[in-house]
Amino acid sequence: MAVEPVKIKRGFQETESLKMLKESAVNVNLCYQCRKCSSGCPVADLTARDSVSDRTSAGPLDEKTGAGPDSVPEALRSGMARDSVPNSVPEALRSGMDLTPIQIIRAVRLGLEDLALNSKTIWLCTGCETCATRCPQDIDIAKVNSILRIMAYKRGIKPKLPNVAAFDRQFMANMKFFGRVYEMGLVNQLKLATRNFMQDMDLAGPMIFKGKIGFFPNFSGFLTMKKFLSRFKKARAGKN
Amino acid sequence: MPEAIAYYPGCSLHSTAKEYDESLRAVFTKLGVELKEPEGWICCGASSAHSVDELLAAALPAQNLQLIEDMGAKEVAIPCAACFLRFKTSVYDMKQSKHLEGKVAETIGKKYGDTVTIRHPVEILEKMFANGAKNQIKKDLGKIKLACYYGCMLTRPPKVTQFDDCEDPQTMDRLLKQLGAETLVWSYKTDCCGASLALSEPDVVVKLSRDILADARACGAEAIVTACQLCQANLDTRQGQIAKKFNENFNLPILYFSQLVGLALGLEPGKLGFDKHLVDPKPLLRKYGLLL
Ligand code: SF4
Ligand code: SF4
Repeated sequence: MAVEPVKIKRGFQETESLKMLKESAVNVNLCYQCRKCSSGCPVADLTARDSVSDRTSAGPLDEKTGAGPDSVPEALRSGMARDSVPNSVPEALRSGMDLTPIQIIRAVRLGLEDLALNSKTIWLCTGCETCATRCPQDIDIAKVNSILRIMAYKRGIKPKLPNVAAFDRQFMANMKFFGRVYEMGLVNQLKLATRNFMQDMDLAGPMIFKGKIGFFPNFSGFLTMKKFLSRFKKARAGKN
Repeated sequence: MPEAIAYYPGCSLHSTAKEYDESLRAVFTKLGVELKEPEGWICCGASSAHSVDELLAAALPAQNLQLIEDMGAKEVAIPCAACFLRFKTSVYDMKQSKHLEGKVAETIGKKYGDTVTIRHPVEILEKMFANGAKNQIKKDLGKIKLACYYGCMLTRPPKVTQFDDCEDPQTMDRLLKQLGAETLVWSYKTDCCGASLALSEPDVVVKLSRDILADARACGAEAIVTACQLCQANLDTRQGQIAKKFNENFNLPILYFSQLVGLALGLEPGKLGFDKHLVDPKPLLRKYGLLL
C-alpha cells in the first residue's frame, strides 16, 4: 500500500493538544519510541493475540501427563499469527486501531494533531491504561486519547466511530437528566440515536427474564445533580 | 451497634448488577458492618465524563466524596471498579493541579478536604478475613478452581489506584484461598474486557472477552471471579455471541467474589443472586456441595 507523505512544519508548534496535555502534566516529548504502549494495547491490533491463549486450539493438554499438543510449532505461533486472521473477527475490526498508541504520541508530538483527531484510535481506546502503566517514561497515553476526544467534540470533528461518540453523548445526557444513570433508558436512547435497533437484541430476552434490567429510573440524585450542574456551568464559564 | 462504613454503589449496582449489591450487603451485615449510602449521591460520570470534559470528570466524584465527608465517614467502599478509578483519579488529579482543584471547589461549593479513604470491598474483606473474620467461615469452598479476574480499573494506573501489584495482583486470590478455593495462575487476569464499548462496539467486547475466557479455561478454571459489574456482564452475557462467532462454547460461570464469600459464611444462597447470571453457576456449586 502506498503511503502518502505527511508534511511536517519545521520548528516547534504549540498546538492546542500540546497545550492541553501540558496542563494535564502529560509530556509526550519524553517518548523514546520503545513501543511498549502499542504492544500491550488490547485493541491496537485485534488479531495479534489470536493464538496466545489457544493452548486448546492445537488439541487439549493430556489429562494425566499434562503434556501439551503434538503440533508444537503451531502452538508456538502464539501472538505471531497475524497472517491467519480467523473469520470470526469482524471485517471492520481486523486491523483494530488505524494509528497505534505510539503513532498517536508521534502525531501529537510532531504537531500533526489532525491526523490523531481523525483517527479511529481515539474512539476505539477503552481507557484500560495498560499503555500508561507500562510506559517507562510515565506518559499517560490513555489520557492523551481522552484529551483528543474532548478536542474532537469541541471542534465538531466527525467521529470515526460514531457509535462510540453517540454512547458518550447519550450517557452524559442520561446522567445529567436523572442524576443517576438509568440503564434501560440509556439503551433505548442509543438505539434511537444510532438507528441500530437489532444490536444485541438476542440479549434483551434473557436479561429481562433474569430480572437484570430495572424498568424504572431512580430520582434520588436528581436534586444534587441539578445544583451541581448549575454551579458547574458557572465554574466552566468563569475565566481561567 | 454495628460498625458502619460509607458505601457508594454507583448506578449499575442499583439496576443491572443487583446481585452484586445484595451479596455485598449480606456479607457485610453478617460480618457486623453496616454499609451506609450517602443520601442523594449522583453518578460519578464513569464511562464517559473523562472523554467529554475534564472538569466534569473530576468534579462529579468530588461532589460524592463531599457528601461522604459530610456524613462523617473516614472510609468509603466502592464496588464498581469504574467508579473506584474515577474517584481515585479525581483525588489524584486535584493533587496534581491547583487550577483543577480550584475549579472543582467552585463546582462543589467548597474545597474538598480529602479525609476519606477510597477502598474497594475486595480489599476490605481480604483484610477482615486476614484479621480474624476467618473463624466465621461455615463452609469451605473445597478446592474449587477459580480464575480471579481483576480487569483494568482496579489495578491501573498503579500510581493512581494504589491497588496491589499491577501486573499480578493477589488480593482477591488471597481472599478466596482463605475460604478454601484454589486460585489459578493465568495470564489474562488484568487484561481488558472492552468495558463500556459493550454498548457501542460490541464486536470488540466479544473478541476481548473471548480471549479472557479462553485463557481461563486453558488454565483449568471452573469459574471466573470478578470484582466489577462491567467485567461480570461482559464475560457472562457475551458467551452466547462468542459461541456463535468463534464456535467455542465456554459455558464458564462468572461470579462475584462477594457471592463466594457469602456462601463460605453460610448465607442463604437465595440471597446471593445466583439466578441472575446468564451462564448458570448452580451445577458447578452443587458439584462442590455449596448448594443443595
Ligand atoms: S511506551 Fe511510552 S516511551 Fe514507549 S513508545 Fe509508548 S509512549 Fe513512547
Ligand atoms: S488505554 Fe487505550 S491506547 Fe492504552 S492500552 Fe488501553 S486501549 Fe490501548
